[in-house]
Amino acid sequence: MPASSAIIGLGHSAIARTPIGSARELAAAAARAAIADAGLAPSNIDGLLLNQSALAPPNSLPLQMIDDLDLRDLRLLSIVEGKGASVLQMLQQATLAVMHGMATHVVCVFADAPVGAGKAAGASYQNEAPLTGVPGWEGRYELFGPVGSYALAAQRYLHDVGAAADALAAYPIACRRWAALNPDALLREPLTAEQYRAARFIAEPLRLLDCAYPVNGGAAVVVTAVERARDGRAAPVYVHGLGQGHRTVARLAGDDDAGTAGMLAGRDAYRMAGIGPRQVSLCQVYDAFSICAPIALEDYGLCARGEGLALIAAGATSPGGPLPMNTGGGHLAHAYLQGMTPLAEAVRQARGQGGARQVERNDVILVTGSGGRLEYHAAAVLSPHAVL
Amino acid sequence: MNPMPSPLSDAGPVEAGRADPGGADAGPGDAGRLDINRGAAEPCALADEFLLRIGQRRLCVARCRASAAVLPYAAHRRPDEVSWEDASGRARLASFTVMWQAYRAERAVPYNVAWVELDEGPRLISTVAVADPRALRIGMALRARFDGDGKLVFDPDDEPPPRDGATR
Repeated sequence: MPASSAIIGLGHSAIARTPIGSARELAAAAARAAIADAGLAPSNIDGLLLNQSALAPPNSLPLQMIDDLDLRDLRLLSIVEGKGASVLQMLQQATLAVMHGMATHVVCVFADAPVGAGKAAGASYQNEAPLTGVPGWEGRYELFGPVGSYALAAQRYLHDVGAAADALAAYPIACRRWAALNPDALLREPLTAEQYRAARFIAEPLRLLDCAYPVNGGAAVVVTAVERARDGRAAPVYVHGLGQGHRTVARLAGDDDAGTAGMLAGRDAYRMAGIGPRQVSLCQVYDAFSICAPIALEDYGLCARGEGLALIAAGATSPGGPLPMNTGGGHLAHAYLQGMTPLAEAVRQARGQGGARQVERNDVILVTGSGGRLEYHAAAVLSPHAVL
Repeated sequence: MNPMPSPLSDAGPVEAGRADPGGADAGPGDAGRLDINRGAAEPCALADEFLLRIGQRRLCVARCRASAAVLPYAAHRRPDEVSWEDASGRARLASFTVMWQAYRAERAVPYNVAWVELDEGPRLISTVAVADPRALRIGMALRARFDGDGKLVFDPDDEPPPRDGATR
């Protein structure tokens, strides 16, 4: 089937574990880099979609960013908020606009600056976890931040599949193997099972090394219509499938045998692309916590239910394996740019710019986003080919 | 373990008035970074009614008058759309985590946070009163209790009634 849109530009700001500017400044730098990467000028851009971290102060990336980027006469402008699904929701909105002539070149940008001077990055994620649905309730039990919620999901997953308490180690170990091949990754040293077990628990069974590596930084893409895909300087990356799926608190109790709402997102994305999960050559999934990876493999039909972690442990998703996953090192070892980490790596792999980590088969790339407490999901199918 | 007298049966009638959320809203989170889309943060009549009863040491569930279904606590409804009833206090441990990171200085770690499924259906966050978190098992039977501070906690229930469909 023919593609629906094309990504013709990819850009990053500087990325660091120290303060290097506001989220707004980093977003502007990333957007400018993406526009230049596409071989375009700000005057060519008529659409701007903004995604700030859901945990950052409101209006961290305001609509006034029009001026930061010297844009004028925009036909599409919006802040998109769907938690970890936001970046792929921007891609969906941009695709719909360019398909129908409501915009020509749309910049989609994410940036965040959670790492402050003299405080742990984790301090930025300490909000009360809304699970019960009663304001103030989780605070009584001192359940703060997303890590505790994902620990509940992880504990249940390990119980349901009969895995050992430290079985999640396989995933961060695989991420480091990819990161070792990625000069831009922030945690490139190999990780052994012993080192994993020596890492401190944050919320059992999740250890520090099961959690995303927070950074200050931003990334952006430029989306255009398929007919214009060759206007750019770089090889276009075609968008073939898009989907969303949302359901309130799922998977924390394990009774969702059918999986999370990621299944809905995947079903739509595959159908739109005219493919099935068997055609997926590699995947870039949203993995803010290690438990997200096996759940995504299962929800997106890349393995049978309950087999995701075993697949990772067997090396299937590692360098040289049959189903490469998170080939830059993902959120755990590359950098936590939320939904942009998987999307940007997918673009690099589709372009053949993966360097030492470039996979051989890049025909069909699944990208996922998920957020909240595994409630909000979006998926995309990308390819270097205009027709699948 | 000694069978617990029901902590839920000796509470008086619910009186009109606002629930006291116990000041628990004030988490130690970084005030500069607030979740702009936290679903639980909006005031809700149903949540207020739930907290009102909790303040009176009653664990209740809300039933939708239209569908007769027991509602999750996260549901938003007008007060006249639901009726309240005392929960049995019986529950199962759906999942748990042992927190090793203290989010306020005076908090001793580790402590456990439990994801509890009431026999009536709703799920809520709580804690299981066990000295050693290694005693926690997913699926274990629990019984609700209010501790000395009026906080809802759960004890392991050594003599749970058979669940629906279970053989005696």
